[in-house]
Amino acid sequence: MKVEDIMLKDVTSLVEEVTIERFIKLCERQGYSALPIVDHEFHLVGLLSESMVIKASIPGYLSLMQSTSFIPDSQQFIKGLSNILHKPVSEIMDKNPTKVYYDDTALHAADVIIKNSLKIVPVVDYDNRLVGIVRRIKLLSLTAKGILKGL
Amino acid sequence: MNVMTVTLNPSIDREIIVENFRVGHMFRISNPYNAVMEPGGKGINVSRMLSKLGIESMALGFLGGFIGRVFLEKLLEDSNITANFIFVEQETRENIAILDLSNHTITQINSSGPTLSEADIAHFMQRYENALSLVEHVLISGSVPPNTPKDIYTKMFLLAQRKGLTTYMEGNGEPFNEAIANACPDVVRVDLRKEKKYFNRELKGLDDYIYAAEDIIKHGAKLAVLSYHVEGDIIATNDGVWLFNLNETVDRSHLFGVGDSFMTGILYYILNNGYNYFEAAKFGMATAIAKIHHIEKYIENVDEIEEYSNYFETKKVK
Repeated sequence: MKVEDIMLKDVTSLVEEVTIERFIKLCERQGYSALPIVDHEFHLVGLLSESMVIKASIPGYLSLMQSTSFIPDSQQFIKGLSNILHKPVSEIMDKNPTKVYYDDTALHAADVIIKNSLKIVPVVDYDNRLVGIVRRIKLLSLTAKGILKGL
Repeated sequence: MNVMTVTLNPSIDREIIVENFRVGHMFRISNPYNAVMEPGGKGINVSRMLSKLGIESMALGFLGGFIGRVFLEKLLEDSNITANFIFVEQETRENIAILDLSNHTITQINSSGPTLSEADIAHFMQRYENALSLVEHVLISGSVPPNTPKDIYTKMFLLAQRKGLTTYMEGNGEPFNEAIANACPDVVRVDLRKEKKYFNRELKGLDDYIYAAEDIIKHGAKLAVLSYHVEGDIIATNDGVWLFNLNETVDRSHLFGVGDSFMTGILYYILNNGYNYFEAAKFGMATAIAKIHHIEKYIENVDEIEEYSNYFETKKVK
């Protein structure tokens, strides 16, 4: 089974100059937790997730920690977030995101998603153009149904 | 991927088959196949028909709310369609059609769709322009959501034409008229379901139809198509005007989706055989007739279309 057999052919994405506020709005409307960032010809240039927005909203020394569960004061987060809302997504996105190719095996995608604890991974063609995404829930459901084997 | 379809105001289409339907009564649906729910809207229908014929496409437009998410999930089940939608605040519309096969009637209830904000429209235009770099054929079809700027189709076709893409439009009303006047697409089909009108001219006799078809060609289209009464179509190219006349009488309840089939046929022909617009129109007509003979929504293979290539006569009328 290939990545293209399990991916969602959805190229919903943002360009780099879109604001973080808009990112939040679109994720909420569509029910997604991360979006690929593309250039003006749909080449993948980054990925932005909810957790990256949270990390960017809290003071630098805290974001160095693996977990944000101990943040003493959520006021810091609220203030931090309002400070970055109007910044472009390119400022805080992952500029070197994990990605898979459409003809990689589905098992490889599973590997990448689990090892990097990602919720989605962008799928690209050999021009690095976005052609879809693989969602973690899809992998879980295929595995649970016994369709994806050998994990 | 070669083809982009744009449906600014897509819908969830619910088709319910009720024998002897009457208003003011309650009906139960016992067979689940008699109440189906599918992503629809004119551009989406073309994408889905192309998919059944083995052609991939990218679908663009606005979606919103609960219905929008259901729509997207359903659409993504089709592996030949790539989705590229902007989500807006309000709900995507619903089209409900009640088909009564015994009395040959369709009863339709259509909602009008979400109101768009300026930010959503700007975002869409930017997404659309970027997506043009991925395709060679652009079809824009159907109505627009309330308060959409009247020049939206014009702007979209200008962008596509600047990139040298082949353009297709089916619709009617102000955005459609503006596009004909200012950025006329290569293939135009006038949607006459709601009212038989081209700009401000009522279409009554054959002369009115010939006038409209020729006018579209004058604005720069290579092919113009107008359905003419129930059993024919007026076709115009740079070489003249024809009446394609059906050799049979058609059951009105089977006309659902005929315009979309016509456009699908034209696109399919051009993609596979190149730019012979007259032949493309004939193939479009055969596709539309094949659709009339299929109560299911889709035609699965090309042979089924070719079977119908002799079901109509072509007569030059100018």
